[in-house]
Amino acid sequence: MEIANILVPLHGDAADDSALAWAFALAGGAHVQALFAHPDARVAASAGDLRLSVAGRDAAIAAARERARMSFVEQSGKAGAAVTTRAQAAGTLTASYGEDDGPPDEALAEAARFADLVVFGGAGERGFLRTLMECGKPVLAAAGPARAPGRIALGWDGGIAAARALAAAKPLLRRAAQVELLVIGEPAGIAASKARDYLALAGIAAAIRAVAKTAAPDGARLLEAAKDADLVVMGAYGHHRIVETLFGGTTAHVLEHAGIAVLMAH
Amino acid sequence: MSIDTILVPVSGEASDAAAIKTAIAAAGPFASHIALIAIHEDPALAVPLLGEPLAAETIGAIIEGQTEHGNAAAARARATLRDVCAPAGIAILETPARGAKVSCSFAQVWDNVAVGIGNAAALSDLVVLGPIRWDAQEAFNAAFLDVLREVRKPLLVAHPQPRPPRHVAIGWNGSAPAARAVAAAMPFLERAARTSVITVDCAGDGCADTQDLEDYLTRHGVGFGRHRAEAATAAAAGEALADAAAGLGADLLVAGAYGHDHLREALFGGATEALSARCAMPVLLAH
Repeated sequence: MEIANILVPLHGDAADDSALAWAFALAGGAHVQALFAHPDARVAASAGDLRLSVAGRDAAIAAARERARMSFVEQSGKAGAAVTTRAQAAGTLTASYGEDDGPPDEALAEAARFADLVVFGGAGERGFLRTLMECGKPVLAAAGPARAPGRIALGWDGGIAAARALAAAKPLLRRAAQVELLVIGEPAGIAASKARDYLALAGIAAAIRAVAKTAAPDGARLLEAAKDADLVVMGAYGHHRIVETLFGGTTAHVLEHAGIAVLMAH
Repeated sequence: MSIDTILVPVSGEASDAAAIKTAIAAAGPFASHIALIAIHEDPALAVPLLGEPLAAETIGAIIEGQTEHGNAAAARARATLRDVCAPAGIAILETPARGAKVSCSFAQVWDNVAVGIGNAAALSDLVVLGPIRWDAQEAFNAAFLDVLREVRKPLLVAHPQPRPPRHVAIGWNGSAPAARAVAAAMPFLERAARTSVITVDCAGDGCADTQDLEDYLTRHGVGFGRHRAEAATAAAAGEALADAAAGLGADLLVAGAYGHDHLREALFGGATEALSARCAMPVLLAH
Protein backbone atom coordinates (compact mmCIF):
# COMPACT_ATOMS: atom_id res chain seq x y z
CA MET A 1 0.00 0.00 0.00
CA GLU A 2 1.45 3.31 -0.98
CA ILE A 3 -0.97 5.95 0.27
CA ALA A 4 -2.51 4.63 3.47
CA ASN A 5 -3.74 7.80 5.17
CA ILE A 6 -5.29 10.84 3.46
CA LEU A 7 -6.05 13.90 5.57
CA VAL A 8 -8.94 16.16 4.52
CA PRO A 9 -9.25 19.43 6.46
CA LEU A 10 -12.90 20.54 6.41
CA HIS A 11 -14.14 24.11 6.79
CA GLY A 12 -17.89 23.89 6.60
CA ASP A 13 -18.29 25.20 3.06
CA ALA A 14 -19.13 23.74 -0.35
CA ALA A 15 -15.44 23.03 -1.07
CA ASP A 16 -15.59 20.27 1.56
CA ASP A 17 -17.70 18.14 -0.82
CA SER A 18 -15.11 18.40 -3.57
CA ALA A 19 -12.18 17.71 -1.21
CA LEU A 20 -13.82 14.59 0.20
CA ALA A 21 -14.89 13.34 -3.23
CA TRP A 22 -11.27 13.64 -4.45
CA ALA A 23 -9.87 11.99 -1.34
CA PHE A 24 -12.19 9.00 -1.76
CA ALA A 25 -11.45 8.82 -5.50
CA LEU A 26 -7.71 8.59 -4.76
CA ALA A 27 -8.00 6.43 -1.66
CA GLY A 28 -8.23 2.92 -3.08
CA GLY A 29 -8.02 0.95 0.16
CA ALA A 30 -6.65 3.80 2.24
CA HIS A 31 -8.06 5.63 5.24
CA VAL A 32 -9.61 9.07 4.73
CA GLN A 33 -9.31 11.20 7.85
CA ALA A 34 -11.61 14.23 7.83
CA LEU A 35 -10.77 16.95 10.34
CA PHE A 36 -12.87 19.97 11.25
CA ALA A 37 -10.78 22.45 13.20
CA HIS A 38 -12.64 25.52 14.43
CA PRO A 39 -12.25 28.34 11.94
CA ASP A 40 -11.61 30.86 14.66
CA ALA A 41 -9.70 33.25 12.39
CA ARG A 42 -12.53 33.50 9.90
CA VAL A 43 -15.19 33.79 12.57
CA ALA A 44 -13.20 36.40 14.44
CA ALA A 45 -12.85 38.39 11.23
CA SER A 46 -16.52 38.17 10.44
CA ALA A 47 -17.26 39.04 14.01
CA GLY A 48 -15.37 42.27 13.40
CA ASP A 49 -17.18 42.90 10.16
CA LEU A 50 -20.65 41.96 11.22
CA ARG A 51 -20.43 42.77 14.92
CA LEU A 52 -21.42 39.25 15.81
CA SER A 53 -22.15 38.55 19.43
CA VAL A 54 -20.47 35.64 21.19
CA ALA A 55 -23.72 33.75 20.74
CA GLY A 56 -23.73 34.60 17.04
CA ARG A 57 -20.12 33.47 16.72
CA ASP A 58 -20.93 30.18 18.40
CA ALA A 59 -23.88 29.71 16.08
CA ALA A 60 -21.65 30.34 13.06
CA ILE A 61 -19.17 27.72 14.26
CA ALA A 62 -21.95 25.24 14.98
CA ALA A 63 -23.43 25.77 11.50
CA ALA A 64 -20.04 25.27 9.84
CA ARG A 65 -19.41 22.16 11.90
CA GLU A 66 -22.78 20.73 10.96
CA ARG A 67 -22.16 21.47 7.27
CA ALA A 68 -18.74 19.72 7.47
CA ARG A 69 -20.12 16.71 9.31
CA MET A 70 -23.01 16.29 6.84
CA SER A 71 -20.61 16.53 3.93
CA PHE A 72 -18.53 13.75 5.49
CA VAL A 73 -21.58 11.54 6.08
CA GLU A 74 -22.75 12.04 2.50
CA GLN A 75 -19.39 11.60 0.74
CA SER A 76 -18.24 8.63 2.84
CA GLY A 77 -21.60 6.98 2.22
CA LYS A 78 -21.36 7.61 -1.51
CA ALA A 79 -17.85 6.08 -1.56
CA GLY A 80 -18.99 3.08 0.49
CA ALA A 81 -16.32 3.71 3.12
CA ALA A 82 -16.54 1.97 6.47
CA VAL A 83 -16.55 4.66 9.17
CA THR A 84 -14.17 3.79 11.98
CA THR A 85 -11.74 5.58 14.22
CA ARG A 86 -9.89 2.38 14.98
CA ALA A 87 -6.77 2.03 12.82
CA GLN A 88 -6.59 -1.02 10.63
CA ALA A 89 -4.28 -2.15 7.87
CA ALA A 90 -4.98 -0.53 4.51
CA GLY A 91 -6.83 -2.69 1.99
CA THR A 92 -10.42 -1.73 2.68
CA LEU A 93 -11.64 1.84 2.32
CA THR A 94 -12.21 3.38 5.74
CA ALA A 95 -12.96 6.90 6.91
CA SER A 96 -13.12 8.87 10.12
CA TYR A 97 -14.39 12.31 11.10
CA GLY A 98 -12.84 14.30 13.92
CA GLU A 99 -13.08 17.76 15.41
CA ASP A 100 -10.39 19.78 17.11
CA ASP A 101 -11.19 22.90 19.08
CA GLY A 102 -7.57 23.90 19.66
CA PRO A 103 -5.73 26.44 17.51
CA PRO A 104 -6.60 25.29 13.95
CA ASP A 105 -3.09 25.75 12.46
CA GLU A 106 -1.59 23.55 15.14
CA ALA A 107 -4.33 20.94 14.90
CA LEU A 108 -3.78 20.71 11.15
CA ALA A 109 0.02 20.53 11.43
CA GLU A 110 -0.28 17.80 14.06
CA ALA A 111 -2.65 15.71 11.93
CA ALA A 112 -0.59 16.26 8.76
CA ARG A 113 2.46 14.63 10.35
CA PHE A 114 0.93 11.21 9.84
CA ALA A 115 -0.76 11.87 6.52
CA ASP A 116 0.62 10.54 3.23
CA LEU A 117 -1.38 13.15 1.32
CA VAL A 118 -3.44 16.20 2.35
CA VAL A 119 -6.48 17.13 0.21
CA PHE A 120 -8.05 20.59 0.28
CA GLY A 121 -11.22 21.77 -1.45
CA GLY A 122 -9.17 24.41 -3.25
CA ALA A 123 -6.04 26.48 -2.99
CA GLY A 124 -7.99 29.29 -1.35
CA GLU A 125 -8.99 27.14 1.61
CA ARG A 126 -7.62 28.18 4.97
CA GLY A 127 -4.49 26.24 5.85
CA PHE A 128 -3.64 25.27 2.27
CA LEU A 129 -0.53 27.38 1.82
CA ARG A 130 0.68 26.81 5.34
CA THR A 131 0.37 23.05 4.97
CA LEU A 132 2.05 23.15 1.57
CA MET A 133 4.91 25.35 2.67
CA GLU A 134 5.57 24.07 6.16
CA CYS A 135 4.47 20.45 6.55
CA GLY A 136 6.59 18.88 3.81
CA LYS A 137 3.66 16.74 2.69
CA PRO A 138 2.19 16.60 -0.81
CA VAL A 139 -0.96 18.71 -0.95
CA LEU A 140 -3.78 18.41 -3.46
CA ALA A 141 -6.08 21.31 -4.39
CA ALA A 142 -9.29 19.68 -5.60
CA ALA A 143 -11.03 20.91 -8.78
CA GLY A 144 -12.97 19.33 -11.59
CA PRO A 145 -14.59 15.90 -11.55
CA ALA A 146 -13.21 13.63 -8.83
CA ARG A 147 -11.85 10.41 -10.31
CA ALA A 148 -8.69 8.35 -10.13
CA PRO A 149 -6.46 10.32 -12.53
CA GLY A 150 -5.74 8.41 -15.73
CA ARG A 151 -3.88 11.26 -17.42
CA ILE A 152 -1.39 13.20 -15.34
CA ALA A 153 0.58 16.24 -16.51
CA LEU A 154 3.83 17.10 -14.73
CA GLY A 155 4.94 20.72 -14.95
CA TRP A 156 8.74 20.67 -15.27
CA ASP A 157 10.84 23.78 -14.68
CA GLY A 158 14.11 22.07 -13.69
CA GLY A 159 13.77 23.06 -10.03
CA ILE A 160 14.13 21.05 -6.85
CA ALA A 161 10.49 21.59 -5.83
CA ALA A 162 9.36 20.09 -9.15
CA ALA A 163 11.58 17.08 -8.43
CA ARG A 164 10.03 16.74 -4.98
CA ALA A 165 6.55 16.87 -6.53
CA LEU A 166 7.52 14.06 -8.92
CA ALA A 167 8.70 11.88 -6.03
CA ALA A 168 5.54 12.61 -4.03
CA ALA A 169 3.31 11.80 -7.00
CA LYS A 170 4.90 8.40 -7.72
CA PRO A 171 2.06 6.33 -6.17
CA LEU A 172 -0.47 8.17 -8.38
CA LEU A 173 1.77 8.11 -11.46
CA ARG A 174 2.11 4.33 -11.24
CA ARG A 175 -1.68 3.99 -11.51
CA ALA A 176 -2.02 6.46 -14.39
CA ALA A 177 -2.38 5.39 -18.01
CA GLN A 178 -0.62 8.44 -19.42
CA VAL A 179 2.10 10.62 -17.90
CA GLU A 180 3.48 13.70 -19.63
CA LEU A 181 6.34 15.97 -18.59
CA LEU A 182 5.40 19.44 -19.79
CA VAL A 183 8.51 21.52 -20.25
CA ILE A 184 8.00 25.23 -20.58
CA GLY A 185 10.62 27.18 -22.49
CA GLU A 186 14.18 26.11 -21.73
CA PRO A 187 14.34 25.47 -18.01
CA ALA A 188 17.52 26.07 -16.06
CA GLY A 189 18.59 23.49 -13.50
CA ILE A 190 17.78 19.81 -13.92
CA ALA A 191 17.16 18.66 -17.50
CA ALA A 192 13.75 17.15 -18.26
CA SER A 193 15.49 14.01 -19.55
CA LYS A 194 16.87 13.45 -16.01
CA ALA A 195 13.34 13.66 -14.63
CA ARG A 196 12.18 11.15 -17.27
CA ASP A 197 15.06 8.81 -16.30
CA TYR A 198 14.12 9.09 -12.62
CA LEU A 199 10.54 8.08 -13.41
CA ALA A 200 11.75 5.25 -15.67
CA LEU A 201 13.74 3.80 -12.73
CA ALA A 202 10.43 3.75 -10.83
CA GLY A 203 8.77 1.88 -13.71
CA ILE A 204 6.85 4.95 -14.92
CA ALA A 205 6.98 5.80 -18.62
CA ALA A 206 6.69 9.55 -19.17
CA ALA A 207 6.69 11.44 -22.45
CA ILE A 208 8.39 14.83 -22.67
CA ARG A 209 6.40 17.58 -24.37
CA ALA A 210 7.87 21.00 -24.98
CA VAL A 211 5.47 23.88 -24.49
CA ALA A 212 6.45 26.85 -26.61
CA LYS A 213 7.18 30.10 -24.82
CA THR A 214 4.77 32.87 -25.74
CA ALA A 215 3.73 36.22 -24.33
CA ALA A 216 1.19 34.44 -22.11
CA PRO A 217 2.20 33.74 -18.50
CA ASP A 218 3.92 30.39 -17.92
CA GLY A 219 1.13 29.27 -15.62
CA ALA A 220 -1.51 29.95 -18.27
CA ARG A 221 0.45 28.00 -20.87
CA LEU A 222 0.97 25.13 -18.43
CA LEU A 223 -2.77 24.94 -17.78
CA GLU A 224 -3.55 25.21 -21.50
CA ALA A 225 -1.11 22.40 -22.29
CA ALA A 226 -2.56 20.29 -19.46
CA LYS A 227 -6.22 20.94 -20.24
CA ASP A 228 -6.94 17.31 -21.18
CA ALA A 229 -5.26 15.91 -18.06
CA ASP A 230 -7.10 14.78 -14.92
CA LEU A 231 -4.40 16.07 -12.59
CA VAL A 232 -1.51 18.53 -12.76
CA VAL A 233 1.58 17.87 -10.62
CA MET A 234 4.03 20.69 -9.96
CA GLY A 235 6.49 22.10 -7.48
CA ALA A 236 5.68 25.17 -5.45
CA TYR A 237 8.28 27.80 -4.77
CA GLY A 238 8.39 30.53 -2.23
CA HIS A 239 8.58 31.07 1.46
CA HIS A 240 5.85 31.21 4.04
CA ARG A 241 2.75 32.69 2.51
CA ILE A 242 4.28 34.28 -0.53
CA VAL A 243 4.07 31.84 -3.38
CA GLU A 244 6.11 32.48 -6.46
CA THR A 245 8.13 30.38 -8.82
CA LEU A 246 11.47 30.54 -10.47
CA PHE A 247 9.66 31.19 -13.70
CA GLY A 248 7.50 33.96 -12.46
CA GLY A 249 4.30 33.56 -10.52
CA THR A 250 3.40 30.25 -12.12
CA THR A 251 2.35 28.62 -8.87
CA ALA A 252 0.08 31.50 -7.99
CA HIS A 253 -1.42 31.61 -11.48
CA VAL A 254 -2.15 27.89 -11.52
CA LEU A 255 -3.64 28.00 -8.05
CA GLU A 256 -5.92 30.89 -8.96
CA HIS A 257 -7.04 29.73 -12.36
CA ALA A 258 -6.88 25.95 -12.37
CA GLY A 259 -10.14 24.28 -13.32
CA ILE A 260 -8.20 21.08 -12.80
CA ALA A 261 -6.89 19.37 -9.66
CA VAL A 262 -3.31 20.26 -8.76
CA LEU A 263 -0.91 18.21 -6.63
CA MET A 264 1.92 20.28 -5.22
CA ALA A 265 5.03 19.74 -3.14
CA HIS A 266 7.27 22.42 -1.75
CA MET B 1 6.34 4.41 -1.56
CA SER B 2 9.28 2.51 -2.85
CA ILE B 3 13.01 3.17 -2.87
CA ASP B 4 13.73 3.09 -6.60
CA THR B 5 16.91 5.16 -6.73
CA ILE B 6 19.60 5.56 -4.08
CA LEU B 7 22.25 8.26 -4.40
CA VAL B 8 25.73 7.75 -2.97
CA PRO B 9 28.01 10.79 -3.32
CA VAL B 10 31.56 9.42 -3.12
CA SER B 11 34.74 11.26 -2.28
CA GLY B 12 37.58 8.81 -2.96
CA GLU B 13 38.14 8.42 0.79
CA ALA B 14 38.15 5.11 2.69
CA SER B 15 34.64 5.87 3.98
CA ASP B 16 33.23 5.22 0.49
CA ALA B 17 33.26 1.45 1.13
CA ALA B 18 30.91 1.72 4.12
CA ALA B 19 28.57 4.00 2.18
CA ILE B 20 28.42 1.63 -0.81
CA LYS B 21 27.88 -1.44 1.42
CA THR B 22 25.15 0.36 3.36
CA ALA B 23 23.43 1.37 0.12
CA ILE B 24 23.55 -2.22 -1.15
CA ALA B 25 22.03 -3.58 2.08
CA ALA B 26 19.28 -0.92 1.95
CA ALA B 27 18.60 -1.55 -1.75
CA GLY B 28 17.99 -5.29 -1.27
CA PRO B 29 14.26 -5.24 -0.45
CA PHE B 30 13.51 -3.02 -3.47
CA ALA B 31 16.12 -4.11 -6.03
CA SER B 32 16.91 -0.38 -6.19
CA HIS B 33 19.40 1.17 -8.51
CA ILE B 34 22.37 2.75 -6.70
CA ALA B 35 23.81 5.79 -8.45
CA LEU B 36 27.29 6.81 -7.29
CA ILE B 37 28.47 10.28 -8.15
CA ALA B 38 31.92 11.72 -7.67
CA ILE B 39 31.41 15.48 -7.77
CA HIS B 40 34.33 17.85 -8.09
CA GLU B 41 34.37 21.58 -8.27
CA ASP B 42 34.62 22.57 -11.92
CA PRO B 43 38.32 23.55 -12.32
CA ALA B 44 37.34 26.75 -14.10
CA LEU B 45 35.37 27.75 -10.98
CA ALA B 46 38.42 27.15 -8.78
CA VAL B 47 40.40 29.98 -10.34
CA PRO B 48 40.34 33.00 -8.02
CA LEU B 49 38.42 35.85 -9.60
CA LEU B 50 39.51 38.61 -7.27
CA GLY B 51 42.88 40.07 -6.34
CA GLU B 52 45.94 40.34 -8.55
CA PRO B 53 45.41 39.10 -12.10
CA LEU B 54 46.96 35.66 -12.48
CA ALA B 55 49.40 34.68 -15.19
CA ALA B 56 47.96 32.36 -17.83
CA GLU B 57 50.34 29.60 -16.76
CA THR B 58 49.24 29.94 -13.12
CA ILE B 59 45.62 29.55 -14.20
CA GLY B 60 46.63 26.56 -16.28
CA ALA B 61 48.41 25.01 -13.30
CA ILE B 62 45.37 25.52 -11.05
CA ILE B 63 43.06 23.91 -13.58
CA GLU B 64 45.48 21.05 -14.19
CA GLY B 65 45.94 20.44 -10.47
CA GLN B 66 42.21 20.47 -9.79
CA THR B 67 41.54 18.13 -12.67
CA GLU B 68 44.21 15.64 -11.56
CA HIS B 69 42.96 15.78 -7.99
CA GLY B 70 39.38 15.08 -9.09
CA ASN B 71 40.33 12.31 -11.46
CA ALA B 72 42.45 10.57 -8.82
CA ALA B 73 39.61 10.73 -6.27
CA ALA B 74 37.13 9.39 -8.82
CA ALA B 75 39.49 6.55 -9.74
CA ARG B 76 39.85 5.56 -6.08
CA ALA B 77 36.05 5.64 -5.61
CA ARG B 78 35.55 3.56 -8.75
CA ALA B 79 38.08 0.98 -7.50
CA THR B 80 36.27 0.81 -4.15
CA LEU B 81 32.97 0.24 -5.98
CA ARG B 82 34.49 -2.66 -7.96
CA ASP B 83 35.98 -4.17 -4.78
CA VAL B 84 32.61 -4.08 -2.99
CA CYS B 85 30.45 -5.20 -5.93
CA ALA B 86 32.57 -8.07 -7.29
CA PRO B 87 32.26 -10.46 -4.29
CA ALA B 88 28.57 -9.54 -3.88
CA GLY B 89 27.86 -10.28 -7.55
CA ILE B 90 26.36 -6.85 -8.16
CA ALA B 91 26.40 -5.45 -11.69
CA ILE B 92 28.00 -2.07 -12.38
CA LEU B 93 26.07 -0.50 -15.27
CA GLU B 94 27.22 2.18 -17.67
CA THR B 95 24.00 4.13 -17.24
CA PRO B 96 21.36 3.86 -14.50
CA ALA B 97 18.78 1.14 -15.23
CA ARG B 98 16.41 -1.00 -13.21
CA GLY B 99 16.38 -4.78 -13.24
CA ALA B 100 15.27 -7.64 -11.03
CA LYS B 101 18.38 -7.25 -8.87
CA VAL B 102 20.26 -4.42 -7.19
CA SER B 103 22.60 -2.63 -9.60
CA CYS B 104 25.07 0.25 -9.42
CA SER B 105 26.32 2.94 -11.75
CA PHE B 106 29.11 5.47 -11.44
CA ALA B 107 29.28 9.01 -12.77
CA GLN B 108 31.94 11.67 -12.45
CA VAL B 109 30.55 15.21 -12.49
CA TRP B 110 32.37 18.53 -12.76
CA ASP B 111 30.13 21.18 -11.36
CA ASN B 112 29.59 23.47 -8.46
CA VAL B 113 29.51 20.89 -5.64
CA ALA B 114 26.38 22.25 -3.96
CA VAL B 115 24.44 22.52 -7.24
CA GLY B 116 25.57 19.11 -8.50
CA ILE B 117 24.71 17.26 -5.31
CA GLY B 118 21.43 19.13 -4.94
CA ASN B 119 20.27 18.25 -8.43
CA ALA B 120 21.30 14.60 -8.08
CA ALA B 121 19.70 14.27 -4.63
CA ALA B 122 16.46 15.89 -5.83
CA LEU B 123 15.94 12.99 -8.23
CA SER B 124 16.72 10.23 -5.71
CA ASP B 125 14.61 8.48 -3.09
CA LEU B 126 17.34 8.09 -0.48
CA VAL B 127 20.83 9.54 0.00
CA VAL B 128 23.57 7.56 1.75
CA LEU B 129 26.10 9.51 3.76
CA GLY B 130 29.39 7.81 4.61
CA PRO B 131 30.55 7.78 8.23
CA ILE B 132 32.39 10.99 7.42
CA ARG B 133 34.90 12.80 9.53
CA TRP B 134 34.05 16.45 9.75
CA ASP B 135 37.70 17.47 9.59
CA ALA B 136 38.37 15.47 6.44
CA GLN B 137 36.52 17.47 3.79
CA GLU B 138 34.78 20.31 5.43
CA ALA B 139 33.72 22.18 2.30
CA PHE B 140 32.29 19.05 0.73
CA ASN B 141 30.45 18.03 3.88
CA ALA B 142 29.04 21.49 4.43
CA ALA B 143 27.72 21.75 0.90
CA PHE B 144 26.37 18.23 1.07
CA LEU B 145 24.48 18.72 4.30
CA ASP B 146 23.17 22.18 3.53
CA VAL B 147 21.85 20.97 0.22
CA LEU B 148 20.18 17.99 1.86
CA ARG B 149 18.48 20.39 4.21
CA GLU B 150 17.05 22.20 1.20
CA VAL B 151 16.23 19.08 -0.79
CA ARG B 152 14.90 17.30 2.30
CA LYS B 153 15.57 13.77 1.20
CA PRO B 154 15.92 11.06 3.83
CA LEU B 155 19.52 10.45 4.77
CA LEU B 156 21.00 7.06 5.61
CA VAL B 157 24.15 7.32 7.72
CA ALA B 158 26.39 4.40 6.78
CA HIS B 159 27.85 1.71 8.98
CA PRO B 160 30.92 -0.38 8.00
CA GLN B 161 29.11 -3.71 8.55
CA PRO B 162 25.49 -3.20 7.51
CA ARG B 163 22.95 -6.04 7.51
CA PRO B 164 19.80 -6.44 5.41
CA PRO B 165 17.09 -4.30 7.09
CA ARG B 166 14.95 -7.15 8.42
CA HIS B 167 14.50 -5.68 11.88
CA VAL B 168 13.86 -1.94 11.96
CA ALA B 169 13.88 0.07 15.19
CA ILE B 170 12.12 3.45 15.45
CA GLY B 171 13.47 5.94 17.97
CA TRP B 172 10.32 7.86 18.88
CA ASN B 173 10.38 11.17 20.74
CA GLY B 174 7.15 12.64 19.38
CA SER B 175 8.93 15.35 17.37
CA ALA B 176 8.09 16.48 13.85
CA PRO B 177 11.50 15.29 12.51
CA ALA B 178 10.86 11.86 14.04
CA ALA B 179 7.47 11.75 12.29
CA ARG B 180 9.13 12.69 8.98
CA ALA B 181 11.76 9.99 9.53
CA VAL B 182 9.05 7.37 10.07
CA ALA B 183 7.24 8.51 6.91
CA ALA B 184 10.53 8.32 4.97
CA ALA B 185 11.26 4.87 6.41
CA MET B 186 7.82 3.48 5.52
CA PRO B 187 9.12 1.50 2.49
CA PHE B 188 11.55 -0.28 4.83
CA LEU B 189 8.97 -0.75 7.58
CA GLU B 190 6.41 -2.22 5.15
CA ARG B 191 8.93 -4.86 4.12
CA ALA B 192 10.63 -5.55 7.47
CA ALA B 193 10.07 -8.82 9.31
CA ARG B 194 10.06 -6.99 12.63
CA THR B 195 9.59 -3.41 13.83
CA SER B 196 10.38 -2.12 17.30
CA VAL B 197 9.19 1.25 18.60
CA ILE B 198 11.60 2.58 21.23
CA THR B 199 10.74 5.51 23.47
CA VAL B 200 13.28 7.03 25.82
CA ASP B 201 12.33 8.19 29.29
CA CYS B 202 14.69 11.07 30.08
CA ALA B 203 15.35 11.68 33.76
CA GLY B 204 11.99 10.21 34.73
CA ASP B 205 10.04 12.75 32.62
CA GLY B 206 8.10 9.97 30.94
CA CYS B 207 7.97 8.83 27.32
CA ALA B 208 6.47 10.45 24.24
CA ASP B 209 2.93 9.43 23.36
CA THR B 210 2.86 6.74 20.68
CA GLN B 211 -0.85 6.47 19.84
CA ASP B 212 -0.77 8.43 16.54
CA LEU B 213 2.43 6.66 15.51
CA GLU B 214 0.85 3.28 16.24
CA ASP B 215 -2.25 4.13 14.17
CA TYR B 216 -0.04 5.29 11.30
CA LEU B 217 2.01 2.07 11.36
CA THR B 218 -1.14 -0.05 11.60
CA ARG B 219 -2.71 1.68 8.58
CA HIS B 220 0.42 0.82 6.62
CA GLY B 221 0.12 -2.80 7.73
CA VAL B 222 3.21 -2.61 9.95
CA GLY B 223 3.10 -4.73 13.12
CA PHE B 224 5.38 -3.60 15.94
CA GLY B 225 6.64 -4.21 19.47
CA ARG B 226 7.00 -1.50 22.12
CA HIS B 227 10.19 -0.91 24.10
CA ARG B 228 11.33 1.65 26.64
CA ALA B 229 14.81 2.90 27.39
CA GLU B 230 15.96 5.20 30.14
CA ALA B 231 18.43 8.06 30.05
CA ALA B 232 19.73 10.12 32.96
CA THR B 233 19.62 13.36 30.95
CA ALA B 234 18.12 14.59 27.68
CA ALA B 235 21.65 14.81 26.26
CA ALA B 236 22.12 11.07 26.81
CA ALA B 237 18.91 10.14 24.95
CA GLY B 238 20.75 9.40 21.68
CA GLU B 239 23.13 6.98 23.34
CA ALA B 240 20.34 5.27 25.26
CA LEU B 241 18.44 4.88 22.00
CA ALA B 242 21.46 3.47 20.15
CA ASP B 243 22.12 0.99 22.97
CA ALA B 244 18.47 -0.11 23.10
CA ALA B 245 18.38 -0.66 19.32
CA ALA B 246 21.62 -2.67 19.50
CA GLY B 247 20.27 -4.67 22.43
CA LEU B 248 17.20 -5.62 20.39
CA GLY B 249 19.45 -6.68 17.50
CA ALA B 250 17.97 -4.14 15.07
CA ASP B 251 19.47 -3.85 11.57
CA LEU B 252 18.37 -0.26 10.96
CA LEU B 253 17.51 2.61 13.29
CA VAL B 254 15.03 5.33 12.24
CA ALA B 255 15.25 8.66 14.04
CA GLY B 256 14.63 12.36 13.53
CA ALA B 257 17.66 14.61 13.26
CA TYR B 258 16.73 17.01 16.00
CA GLY B 259 18.03 19.71 18.26
CA HIS B 260 19.17 22.30 15.71
CA ASP B 261 17.89 24.29 12.80
CA HIS B 262 20.75 23.23 10.59
CA LEU B 263 21.22 19.63 9.66
CA ARG B 264 24.98 20.18 9.75
CA GLU B 265 24.83 21.11 13.40
CA ALA B 266 22.28 18.44 14.14
CA LEU B 267 24.57 15.77 12.72
CA PHE B 268 27.85 17.10 14.01
CA GLY B 269 26.91 18.10 17.47
CA GLY B 270 24.57 16.97 20.16
CA ALA B 271 22.26 14.01 20.29
CA THR B 272 22.34 12.95 16.66
CA GLU B 273 26.13 12.86 16.49
CA ALA B 274 26.27 10.79 19.66
CA LEU B 275 23.57 8.57 18.21
CA SER B 276 25.22 7.87 14.86
CA ALA B 277 28.74 7.60 16.30
CA ARG B 278 27.65 5.02 18.86
CA CYS B 279 25.18 3.17 16.70
CA ALA B 280 25.96 -0.41 15.70
CA MET B 281 23.83 -0.13 12.56
CA PRO B 282 22.96 2.39 9.83
CA VAL B 283 20.70 5.25 10.94
CA LEU B 284 17.93 6.66 8.73
CA LEU B 285 17.47 10.35 9.46
CA ALA B 286 15.03 12.97 8.27
CA HIS B 287 15.12 16.62 9.11
